[in-house]
Amino acid sequence: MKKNLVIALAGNPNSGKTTLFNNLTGSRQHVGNYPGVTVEKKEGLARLGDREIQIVDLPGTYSLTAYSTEEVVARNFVLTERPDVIVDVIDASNLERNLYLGVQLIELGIPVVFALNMCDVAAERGLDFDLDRLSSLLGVPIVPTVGHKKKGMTELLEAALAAVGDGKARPPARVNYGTELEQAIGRLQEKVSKRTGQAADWPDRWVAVKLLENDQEVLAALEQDGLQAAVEEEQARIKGVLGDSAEMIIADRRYGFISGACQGAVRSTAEARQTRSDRIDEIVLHRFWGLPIFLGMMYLVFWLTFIVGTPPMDWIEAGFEWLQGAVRGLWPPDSESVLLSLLADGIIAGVGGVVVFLPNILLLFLSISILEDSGYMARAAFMMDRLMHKIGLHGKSFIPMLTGFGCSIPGIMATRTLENRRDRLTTMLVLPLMSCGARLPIYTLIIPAFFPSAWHAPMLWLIYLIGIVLAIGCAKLLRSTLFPGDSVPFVMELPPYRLPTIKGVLIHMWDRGGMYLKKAGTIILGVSIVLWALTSFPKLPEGDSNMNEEEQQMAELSHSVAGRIGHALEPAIRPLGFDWRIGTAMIGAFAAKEVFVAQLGIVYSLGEADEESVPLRAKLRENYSPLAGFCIMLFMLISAPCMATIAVTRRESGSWKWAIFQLTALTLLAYVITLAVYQTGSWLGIGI
Amino acid sequence: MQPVIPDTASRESLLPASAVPERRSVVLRGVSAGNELISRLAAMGLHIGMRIEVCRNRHHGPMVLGCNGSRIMLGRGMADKLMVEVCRA
Repeated sequence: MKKNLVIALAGNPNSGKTTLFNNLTGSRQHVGNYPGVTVEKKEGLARLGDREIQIVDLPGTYSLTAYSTEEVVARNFVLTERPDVIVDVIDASNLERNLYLGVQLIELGIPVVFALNMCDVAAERGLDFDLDRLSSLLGVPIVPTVGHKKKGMTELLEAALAAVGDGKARPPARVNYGTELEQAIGRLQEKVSKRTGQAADWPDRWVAVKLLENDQEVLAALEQDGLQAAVEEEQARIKGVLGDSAEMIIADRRYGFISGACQGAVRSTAEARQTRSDRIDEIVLHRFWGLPIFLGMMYLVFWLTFIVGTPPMDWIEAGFEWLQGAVRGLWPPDSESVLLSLLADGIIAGVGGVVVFLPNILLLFLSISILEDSGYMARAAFMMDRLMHKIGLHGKSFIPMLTGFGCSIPGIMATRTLENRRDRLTTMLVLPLMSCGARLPIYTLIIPAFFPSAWHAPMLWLIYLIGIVLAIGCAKLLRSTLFPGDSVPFVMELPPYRLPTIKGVLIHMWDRGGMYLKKAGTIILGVSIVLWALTSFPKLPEGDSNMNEEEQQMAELSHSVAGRIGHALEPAIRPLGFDWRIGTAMIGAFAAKEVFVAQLGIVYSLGEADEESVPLRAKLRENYSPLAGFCIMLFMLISAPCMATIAVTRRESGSWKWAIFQLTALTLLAYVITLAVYQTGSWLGIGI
Repeated sequence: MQPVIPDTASRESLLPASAVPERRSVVLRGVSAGNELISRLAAMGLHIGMRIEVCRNRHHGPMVLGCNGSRIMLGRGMADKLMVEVCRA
């Protein structure tokens, strides 16, 4: 059978690429209205007649330089995997800028097809295209599409197949860079023709142009060919003759070529006027209303997550309690069965304690995806820019941080949109201080156990606030020590406002929710069983029956593996107000923060380990002071992020060094702060 | 303070984009920054010779420029580096 055809989807951010991908593959992909939604390439299968076509959705980019991670991902895919055809998705209402990427794709020497997307919006704005003419001027087939109405999909696939098909397609137009540059390109082309290594497969002309553009990746790939001197000589010659850098002239000529093509084929009947988006921005970015609107939005996100999420949480909880009761009912009362204990105390308690928070997670991601898809997220970055500037970052870092309140993992992934490595590492390292959804169960267990109900909400806010303040402090510290340097200029597109589609928002919410459930079903299930075993074995030898039931349970726990580890830790954590039981729970929390609650339930041998269980709270109240309770929350907020976060930091930073640094530094910080708070509190006699 | 609006286009009449009041049209004439940044801006539609509208400019915080229907947000430091010529009203 013939090898599957591979189509790569490229295009500017917000050009409707992901919608097109979903239409072509039927895949459920998240579509965002925020630059940088597709940070990693995604793959799917499309069908045309009896042919299967593999479609790869590349990250949205403005150009093919090696400036940010997404651009490198997109470019490397095209250069190394050599797809059969590239479909460049072009936002018809912003043709010239979108074609800037288009002409660079043409230079890669792979057949290109343009999907002129959002034709309907462009028509509303009074743009009229002569597609045949444009197509012949650019030498590239053009297919008009309307992504959200699924128009033009079959035609697009047919055009893509035809472009590969006979190999006799007319050659695409070539940007003429002018005599001076063309001569330089010609000379360099000759010099690079004998290159070796990974660069050997790249088109000569493209390599020559990239060298003139001072592309660091291409320069590095050709290092052993000793071209540095020749390139610098050509660049100097151009600067001498034309007065501008080669890079600038190349950009200029590309735009010249594009505007020449557009002049002949695009007619605009509309005057530039204030769009609906501009009118919304008048209010949303207003000098007085802007900030209150932003704060209101953030409050709404939290209200939705924590208040609206409570009733479904109660239902799920009741469901698990019922299940626990039902399982217990299968055994005679007072049964000592190990299997019963494993099922009820280990698995149901452990997993249930985590699944209970599914409504919170779903609602938080629902809010985040509405903010993203509508286009407000980019405005939030605008609003936060001044504040973020003060800590040496800029507005763009705010979005990963907000996502971090849901879960650190997608937050750390989202730092890919930050072009500068210093900004990216700083954001990544402090991100776990944004209290994630998994830490919420700990707070909801501890707060009602120690504090009167009027304090509940302020206490929760205080904990979140401490996390934010620490993140700000740490970012500032990192920027002035490990990552010094000027803050990087900040440029970002404000996408036009769009009404989020219910489908898009639900897909995103469900993807996240699914990930959370999967975590509950795998990591947390596994850890619950291991922790249950550690707290249940080895058993005490029979005989010592002069203890009461509670003493018996404590003695059993002390004797178990977890108890012994806890006891070993006790000298170190005593000064923080913790005992060995907290120590055992903390170990479990490294696997996933939610496990802390389940584990405390298990160590207090209460059979039911969900955070609403009143007896557990009563036990906590008997054993610890409110100060110690507060310190537990503080420590869990700051200390070691979970294993999964460490693994993602390792992957995204590219080295274990930063992952281990994050783990150690945050744990030390947690220790020092908790120690200071507990000791000062005890000394002043507050909350003891 | 209202910036002076030049009558004729000359290199001397250039001013940073950050000094241009809102709703004014300007032409981008130069970027006093490294080449990398210049090509980055060009890729986003802000290339030399481009007609740009200053959509939002409060005297602190980021500003928003409009070009060809898209809206580009720039940090203040960045806006100081764009040298523009104000078009006559």
